[in-house]
Amino acid sequence: MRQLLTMICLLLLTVGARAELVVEVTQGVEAPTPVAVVPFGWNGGQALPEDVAEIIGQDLSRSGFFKSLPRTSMLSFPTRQSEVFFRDWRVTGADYLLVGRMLPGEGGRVSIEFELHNVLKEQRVLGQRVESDLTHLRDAAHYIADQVFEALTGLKGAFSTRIVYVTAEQLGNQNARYRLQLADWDGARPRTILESREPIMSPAWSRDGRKLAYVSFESGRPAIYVQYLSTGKRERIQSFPGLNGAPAWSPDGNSMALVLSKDGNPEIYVLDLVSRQLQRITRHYSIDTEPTWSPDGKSIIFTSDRGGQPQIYKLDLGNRNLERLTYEGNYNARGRLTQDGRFLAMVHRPQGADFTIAVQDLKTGRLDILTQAGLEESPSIAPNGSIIIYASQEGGRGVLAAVSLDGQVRFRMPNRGGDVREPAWSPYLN
Amino acid sequence: MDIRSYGLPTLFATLLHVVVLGALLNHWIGDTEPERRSVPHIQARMIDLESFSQQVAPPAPAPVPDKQELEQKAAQQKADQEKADQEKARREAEAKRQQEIQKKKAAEEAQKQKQVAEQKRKAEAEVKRKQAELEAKKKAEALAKRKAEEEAKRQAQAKRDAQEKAKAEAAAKAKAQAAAEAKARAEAEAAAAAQAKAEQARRAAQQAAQQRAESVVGDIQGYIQALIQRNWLVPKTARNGMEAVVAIRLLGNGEVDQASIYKSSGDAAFDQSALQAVYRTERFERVAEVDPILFERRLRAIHIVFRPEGLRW
Repeated sequence: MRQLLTMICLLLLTVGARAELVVEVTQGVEAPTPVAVVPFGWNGGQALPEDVAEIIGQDLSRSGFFKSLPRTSMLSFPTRQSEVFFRDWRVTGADYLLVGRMLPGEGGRVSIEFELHNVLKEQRVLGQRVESDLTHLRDAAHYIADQVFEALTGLKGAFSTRIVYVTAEQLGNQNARYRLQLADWDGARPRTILESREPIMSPAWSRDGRKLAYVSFESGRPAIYVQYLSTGKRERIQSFPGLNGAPAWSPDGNSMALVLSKDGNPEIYVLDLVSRQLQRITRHYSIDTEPTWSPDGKSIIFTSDRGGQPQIYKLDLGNRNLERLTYEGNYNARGRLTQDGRFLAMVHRPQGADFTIAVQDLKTGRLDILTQAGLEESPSIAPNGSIIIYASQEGGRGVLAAVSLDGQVRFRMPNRGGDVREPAWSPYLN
Repeated sequence: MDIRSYGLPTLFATLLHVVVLGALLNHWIGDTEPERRSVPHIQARMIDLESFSQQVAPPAPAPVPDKQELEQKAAQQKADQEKADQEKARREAEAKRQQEIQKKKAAEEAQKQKQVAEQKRKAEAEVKRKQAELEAKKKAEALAKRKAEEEAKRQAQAKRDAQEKAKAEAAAKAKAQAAAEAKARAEAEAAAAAQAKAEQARRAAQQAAQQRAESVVGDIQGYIQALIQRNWLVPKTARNGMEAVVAIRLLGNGEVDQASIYKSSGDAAFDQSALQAVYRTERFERVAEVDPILFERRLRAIHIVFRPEGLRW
């Protein structure tokens, strides 16, 4: 009898549960998620070369997704869960809390244990142990930042990716140094992977992140080279008379789009890297340049002034349909697509203004200007689509800058001298 | 009274008496044999004469002369006269005897006549009786007939009455039934009306209660919405048209007991941000003021739909 009653009660409850109150929420606060990255504990004696927690906090903040809580706001510096008082962290306004400790090992080895906690739910989200050494603490930090980012957003972190860019240094009359530089995504730890007296242009990553293609004038005339990052080995791609420029690897890595003027004026061609067969895909008396592939490899986006002004077009490689993508402003060039194919980043010049970096939603056609007007150029998008890196001008010199896709977070990268141009963001490297 | 006026009639009466006496004397002396008269044959029944004779009254006894003292006195005086008188007495006795005989004869005759008359009377009486009987019979028959007729009539009447009565009763019954039915119907209608009224009142009360409840629920809905909107950090991955539903269960004091993704937006950051908005809110204080029954029915389990509008993308 009691069981029957219980069942009836449960039934009534389920019946009642059907008509649940529904509350609709259509507005929220468009602000990054606050995260507290507490300095990691270290009892190894000597000072560490890198502040791991600082790097992690900066990575997360620069993504635009998070806001790292300043250490001055922290009430305590716990290094493990047992030392955490969630109420304190809730008061400081942190939604998430990252704590960790580093333990010295043999021969400069370091073990890093970290825990990510959800302050609001008072629950551990993630916990890992990372092995590193004193010289690779920055890599470890980027790795941990990637783990945190992915745990909280579902997107793969891009903090362990790299960028390449070209620097030009005028050493005197007719004496310049052009360098192809490789750096962490935040511009840290740059190193030169190619140095030349002649201009280096248009670096491009292969989709597997192991090779770079670029244009070098080292032979006196422009030629396209491919360089292996691990070995430094280079090879020159078939060179044609006239302009050879703007290489772009296809997503499958078997083809390369490029600009050749061998038939008169600059046109887009696709070179089969296996068979060395060349295929011309544009045919117009105006300039067609700056090709890039759509993520699915089925079409090519390029810049053309066939409309009287530079605008961005999309050519379907299957049916050869041509579609103009940009209409706003009198100058739209150097288009780059996010990996989901939805957003097009570009150099944009609004009517009566200077060059800016803008992003266009290809789904809705909406265009948003992300940077102040200046001489911005060469946007390149992080593989997870969160940040656009680009070249800007500061004090008459080119510098690197980055902006989150929504324009909310902007930052400049350190400049160690020279005129910095044409950054290119790597794909995921691990 | 004038004697003269009666003189003549008295004379005539005396004369008539003498005549009648003379005629009777003649009759007494002359013919003793009564004249036989034929008696008409009548139909008669035998009757008990004795019963009749009993009915006849016996003759009254002759009065005894009571004149002893008077006669002893007179005897002395009259002894002389006795002899004169003896003769006279003898004549007188003779006359008396004659008279007696005549008287006797006349009495016999009278008796005879009386008997005849009696018989005649008897026969007549018999006839009369018979007639009377017949008549009585007739009368009885007629009476019976009338009675029968009356009975029939009565019965018919009774029948009619019964019929009428039955009819009346049926009518009355029908009327009563109709009345009862009408009454029942009226009662039923009244009951139905009362019920309808009660139902209406109940519904009205229910509606009013429901409206009050809806109003409270609506208030709480707006309150929850406002709190959540303040506490929802829209993630960078949010896009217009995304939708996540978070199912929450509250405690009576408004605290969030459980929260889970009821329907995913497909974007992990979006889903997570929705949950965090609920966890950040932690407690819906005004829910604690709500009537516990209403809370149990409407507010314990809530679905919060996160559907951003007006985002850039």
